[in-house]
Amino acid sequence: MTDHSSGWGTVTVTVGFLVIMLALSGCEFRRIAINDPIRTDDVAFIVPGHTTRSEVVAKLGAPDEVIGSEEQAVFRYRFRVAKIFRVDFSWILFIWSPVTPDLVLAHGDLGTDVLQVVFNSNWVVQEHAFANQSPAARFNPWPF
Amino acid sequence: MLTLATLLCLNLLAGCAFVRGNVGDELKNEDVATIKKGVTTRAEVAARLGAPDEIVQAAGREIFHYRRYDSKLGYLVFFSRLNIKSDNLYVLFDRDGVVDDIVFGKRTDQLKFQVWPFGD
Repeated sequence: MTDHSSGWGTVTVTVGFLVIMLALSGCEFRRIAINDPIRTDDVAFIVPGHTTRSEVVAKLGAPDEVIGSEEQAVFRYRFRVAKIFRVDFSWILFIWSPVTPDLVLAHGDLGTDVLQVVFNSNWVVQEHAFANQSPAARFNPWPF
Repeated sequence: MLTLATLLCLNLLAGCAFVRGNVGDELKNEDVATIKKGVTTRAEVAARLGAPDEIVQAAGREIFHYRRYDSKLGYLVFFSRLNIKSDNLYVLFDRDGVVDDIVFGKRTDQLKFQVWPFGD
């Protein structure tokens, strides 16, 4: 009698490994980051009526955009993180089928935030606020 | 087993990419240093740095805005990460058209190639 159990074990592990690799081959984790996020703690130093433009620039850097009027100026700091998760199950069909139609589940999540700092004509902060403060982007394949 | 490991390594290398993209000319520190507050005029700024990307009026000042974008994409089979940062230069003029202040932020110096999409 020949013991085939160890041979079958190796085959099972190898086939299992290949199936996992093929399944993972259909997965994609993508991240897009535009500028570093600015958090509430980062703007705690701003005191309306006291903090100046120089102090804001020293802590937060140059803004992405400046808009304003004759009496006011607004610094806008933009930052975004997008996370995209995609699974293509057609890779599994590739094992036994020459035709592999798309079987894709994908979902993209974009978190966009803008910090706005409003200055008066003497370049002292009047107010500041986060616009469109959104929850952090997540990897989530379920599109429904 | 060694062959399988070799094939896996080759497969990973085949799915590897590093891509870089820029929009706009680099804003050099030495060029910015030539602009002096209270001395340099609007015409001289335009002659040294070129026409601005945008001219803004805010808080009684005319502002020249120069910007540049840099991006680095790291891609490894299942994972990829695209990082984008911008440099922004603002030159503020007084009512006589002389430089009143300069605001310069260079974020692209810290731009990195990264592949791992998780975490911060």
